[in-house]
Amino acid sequence: MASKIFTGNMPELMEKILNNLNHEFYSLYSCALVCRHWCKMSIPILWQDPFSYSYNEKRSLFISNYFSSLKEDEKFVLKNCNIYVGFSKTLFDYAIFLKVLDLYCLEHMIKLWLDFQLGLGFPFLKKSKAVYRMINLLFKLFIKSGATLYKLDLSSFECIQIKPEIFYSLQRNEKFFSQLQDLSLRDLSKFSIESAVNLLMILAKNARKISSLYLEIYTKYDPQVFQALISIIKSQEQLRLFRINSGDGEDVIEEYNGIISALTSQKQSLQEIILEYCEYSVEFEVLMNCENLEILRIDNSDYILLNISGSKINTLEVTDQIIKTSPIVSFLEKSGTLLQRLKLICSEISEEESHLLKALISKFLCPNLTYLYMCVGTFSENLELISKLQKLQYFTLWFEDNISEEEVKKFAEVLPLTLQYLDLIHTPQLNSYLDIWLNNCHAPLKKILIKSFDETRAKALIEFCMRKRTLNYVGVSKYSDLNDNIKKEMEKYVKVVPFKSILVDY
Amino acid sequence: VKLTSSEGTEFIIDRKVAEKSVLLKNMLEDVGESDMAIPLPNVTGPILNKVIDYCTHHRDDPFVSQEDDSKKVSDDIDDWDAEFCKVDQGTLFELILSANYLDIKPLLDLTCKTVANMIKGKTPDEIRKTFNITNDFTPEEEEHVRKENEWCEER
Repeated sequence: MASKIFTGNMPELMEKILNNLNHEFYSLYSCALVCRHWCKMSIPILWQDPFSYSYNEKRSLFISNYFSSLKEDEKFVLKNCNIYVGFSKTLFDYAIFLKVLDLYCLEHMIKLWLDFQLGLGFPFLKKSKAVYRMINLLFKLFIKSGATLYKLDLSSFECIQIKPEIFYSLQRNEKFFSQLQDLSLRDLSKFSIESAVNLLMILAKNARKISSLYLEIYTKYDPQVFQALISIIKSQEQLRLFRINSGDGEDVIEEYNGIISALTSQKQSLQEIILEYCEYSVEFEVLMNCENLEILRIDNSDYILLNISGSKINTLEVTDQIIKTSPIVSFLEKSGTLLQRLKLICSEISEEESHLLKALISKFLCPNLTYLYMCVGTFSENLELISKLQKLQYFTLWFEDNISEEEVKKFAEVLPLTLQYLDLIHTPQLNSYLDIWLNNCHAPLKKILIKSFDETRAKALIEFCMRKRTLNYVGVSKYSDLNDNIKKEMEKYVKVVPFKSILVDY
Repeated sequence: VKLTSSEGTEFIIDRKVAEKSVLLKNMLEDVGESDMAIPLPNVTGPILNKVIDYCTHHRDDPFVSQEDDSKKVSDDIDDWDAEFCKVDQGTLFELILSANYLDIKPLLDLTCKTVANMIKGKTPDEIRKTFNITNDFTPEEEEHVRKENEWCEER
């Protein structure tokens, strides 16, 4: 007999199980075809975020299902777009299930759907108008359906005018934004000032549960837009993650018009800050008062920002063209012992990196690191550093130069006995010498990420599996190129997966 | 802390282990120090034994709140937990019901995830066979569901 969880007595538990399959479209589709109850339970999850996945024309056909509930006057919009197809009654009102709305994906999917309906030869200008009308039509349909969004991403290919009736609908349907947790506001100049301000003010009023907020800031923004953005920040109950990108492209932003200062309203809740292309402004001093700020990621931004991040930082990520040593060292001298996760990414090699590595080694600045992502320094410096990190669990090494066989052996020997995860996708020499270092490795690795493997390397991986009995996953970047027979043999011992499916929450 | 399963079997466990269950934690806070056994009429002895095993192994784990859900990104299951979940289907479902009743979120997450992994990649017929479910669709209904969702077949 089937468990009562699956026969309708405990819908909340069945929902919890099926939620684990979110974005597993094929599995959820199978669930919908099992029986009536399973269908009722899985369809709402399947339709939470249908716009996000895979861009082929046939895939976009799900959009047709939204139109069966249109009234006659709304169908007129479709006729104006040269679409005369009839839409039969659907089993569900699918619009109500929408949880994620990404305007960019919506626009893209609509274009594909229109290509399918109208053919590729349809005049470009007419198609652009049709896209604009369809975006408005669907937006309105979602609002009126009673859907409640979790995630909203406002970005677009083209300039978009939001019709006044949408604002009217939003004002009447407060529920639509009431559960919003994740909001991204990209280039708002794609909207008219009036549209942008109206939309932002509705968000400030109705969306108060946002935990993750991403803003792109441009000098061309109207002061009213800045004010509306400030209202959004201030109206949140508990903002945890704030990400700002002021990479305007043309002008350097030095004035944030009160946006950063507004974070003082979130000083208790803010845990993570991501600063992209940010210049120092006195407004950033507010971060010193954020008592629970633990994660700081700066990307091509002013290093002074390292000094004002409070004293509880346990995760630091720095991305830059060239990593500058002295501000990082002085930050680590202050907060290094608290640091558990460190990620340094640069696109150009410089002598400064060696100074940084030397300081990290000689001053032993971060003894408690559990996560390290390095693409700086020489190979021998990296060896020396990791040999000192006796708590390291996750390690990614990005090193593209030559490594001698002797160094490869040494690498295997110095890996800490706490290490579980090793990513060597961007270290080609260690991929080539996989058999040598695996044979000399004593770390209880659970996950290894590599570029690929042939018969010899597969043999070494299997031997490692049998010897250590810890390895669960091998993530491969060239997964589709793997030889089927070798992969099959490997899978008797360990799961082989595309590298992207192994994620680290750091 | 003393607990009594549905058949009346008594279990004595550390307070710290018991407090992994939000239900028991609240009860203990309300009652204070007491020698009285807490009756758990919805949990059988063998299942309570498994739940205690889980809570004992994870006794020092930090408390996971509802909001921390957003941090979960990997569908990876820890070795000990994977071994813990290697039980027959009936036991697995009983564990889900008990974790839900006792309000032990990490155990509920783990067991639900394990069942989800049993569903992953299967055809409707394979799912029916795995969980012994009868197909009550009419052929027309089934076709209708298939047609409205066939976009999922496109990769």
